[in-house]
Amino acid sequence: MKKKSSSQIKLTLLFIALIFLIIISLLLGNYPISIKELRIIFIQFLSGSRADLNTNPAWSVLYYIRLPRILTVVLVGAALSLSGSAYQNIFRNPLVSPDILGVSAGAGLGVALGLLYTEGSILYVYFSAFLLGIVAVFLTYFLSKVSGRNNSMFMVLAGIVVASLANALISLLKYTADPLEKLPGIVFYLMGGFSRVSWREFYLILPIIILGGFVLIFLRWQLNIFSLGEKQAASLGVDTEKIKIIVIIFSTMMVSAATAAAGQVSWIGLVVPHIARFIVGTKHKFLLPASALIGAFLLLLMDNLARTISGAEIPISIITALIGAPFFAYLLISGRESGWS
Amino acid sequence: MLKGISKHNNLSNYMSFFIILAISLIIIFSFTFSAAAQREFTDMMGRKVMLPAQVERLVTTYKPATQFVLSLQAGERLKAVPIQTENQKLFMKLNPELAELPQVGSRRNGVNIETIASVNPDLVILYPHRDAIDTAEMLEKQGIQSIIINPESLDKIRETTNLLAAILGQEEQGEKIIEAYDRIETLTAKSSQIKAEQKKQVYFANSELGSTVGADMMQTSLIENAGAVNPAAALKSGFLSISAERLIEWNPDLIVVSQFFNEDLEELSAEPRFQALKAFKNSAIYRFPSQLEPWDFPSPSSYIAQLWLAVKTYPEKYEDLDYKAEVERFYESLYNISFSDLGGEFE
Repeated sequence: MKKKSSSQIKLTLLFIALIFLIIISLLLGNYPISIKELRIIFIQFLSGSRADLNTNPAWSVLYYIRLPRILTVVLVGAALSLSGSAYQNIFRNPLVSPDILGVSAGAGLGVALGLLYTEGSILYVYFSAFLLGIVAVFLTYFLSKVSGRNNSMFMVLAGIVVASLANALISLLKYTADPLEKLPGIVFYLMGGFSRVSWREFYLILPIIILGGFVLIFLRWQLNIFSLGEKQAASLGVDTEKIKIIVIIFSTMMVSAATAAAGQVSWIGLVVPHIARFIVGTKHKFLLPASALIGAFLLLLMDNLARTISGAEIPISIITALIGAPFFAYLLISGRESGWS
Repeated sequence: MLKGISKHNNLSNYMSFFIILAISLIIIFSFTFSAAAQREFTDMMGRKVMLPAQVERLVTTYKPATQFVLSLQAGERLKAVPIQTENQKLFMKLNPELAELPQVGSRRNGVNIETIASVNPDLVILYPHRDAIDTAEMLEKQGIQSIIINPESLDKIRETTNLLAAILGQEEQGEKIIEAYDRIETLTAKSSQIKAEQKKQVYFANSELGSTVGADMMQTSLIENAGAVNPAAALKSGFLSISAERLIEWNPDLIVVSQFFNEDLEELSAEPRFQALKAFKNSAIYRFPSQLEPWDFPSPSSYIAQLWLAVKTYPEKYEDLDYKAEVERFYESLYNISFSDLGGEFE
């Protein structure tokens, strides 16, 4: 009873910290906005005159550049971490993540295909990202399954196989792409980053990530049982295969949406679930929201660096890898990634 | 009395008619005037853009854009530039103050919209790829106009110069540049009359000997305009890699390498496996000039690269041409300062 309330307090604190960071992030940026301008915006906002607001350059920077970007970063960070937690749980493997299972690479291949072979609608890009993300994760899963060796290491290896295959196909597409217009577009898109994000991306991924998040949180009890092992779960009357497939589909949907919006963002999906387990333990009722909040918080922190450290943009993956990789090494060495029996 | 009134009315009718006429004329004139203050342009992706009569505050997002602006003598209008501008020797010679400007990003990594908005530009010149259209839309939300340029062939370089000259109101300088282009084309016309069976084979190496370019690339069109054949153009378009074996099979008459070629040319020409190659035997291996700026990149200087390549490929046809004087003259036309005064060196 006591432990439960302490986890609730931790979640509340995480939530407050995220809101606080969102507000700070709104005030950070290369377009200088003074306190005075903020006050003017606030007054114009309260008086409800959109006409005045829309001619105010500080407002259009805040509303059309910073806010959609910040909210999209929050969604992507939450989505990657949530699906990372879910994957780690259903595969009972602390080493898996969207990047390691090949989902990110598969979705990236989908994005490249979408960019190459469809003109116009961004929806095709999202759809083909999802389709190939799903194909990649099932390929990894079946590869490790047909091997008969149901251990964590083999799944990681299978993921490496699938990711390499997908990345090879991406390279092939790049090789055949029109070098002047299509190729730089694909390279740029897949490198990962939030500089191109606008409200359109936010509204596209919002329903997908809310749906995926709700499905996972709805299945929190079944996910807890999974931690005991599939046999025990089956003996408790859980249809493990069905749950597994549902979790895979919805997690992959979230990762694909995140990849289609922001390219391949590495490390977040692997590291954040470990931090979350360290803070709130392994109960999914707390673990899933904690992962989402921590993922959103960390990615937002990193994207703030990416957009303000210099006048130009620094690719987000450089920052996630520079911070994520040493941190994961620390977790491995200190044995803090436990929480796994 | 009635008559008087009606007369008076007539008079006031006339008066009011004239007043209304005058007012409407003023309104019409002021409308045409403000319409004249806004000019419509079509950029090189086919987008229609309305721009003010005076474009005073400029932002460029990739190196070639900056170079076009500098050649049009509008460097002082730049308020923000792409990353690594301070490392471009030519730019630093022409407008050293560019090093102090905010840097907005690059073609490779995208641009930071906020940094662009913070310098309040009249016009942003964007790089040509699919993402640029999205960037243009985001800029428009900020009330910032942008155009996309695409100077990826000699014809399109010409088009870019004309478009930017019109937008920046630098038509006179634009004419001067176009004349310099025309002059190069006249000079290199000799090469284009070469019969197909007499055309030399010219191989272009990018960063390494095995990396080259195929069809639809700037460098290939430079080779073809010089009256030669790029053997790699038959394989595919875009960038590609080939094996040493393939190179030996092609046995090109000439090898030209990019300004950014990473391998040691001396070491390469000493390698036993290449001794059979005509180009190595005749020491016909050249690096694209110049140390001042890479001529093999799409920019106004691609024209001077064209002249250099034609002279290198068929030196016997250009014996009576004063190549150095032409280079000096070309830079003089573009930047009002000669190549060697800018610190350029002939090899």
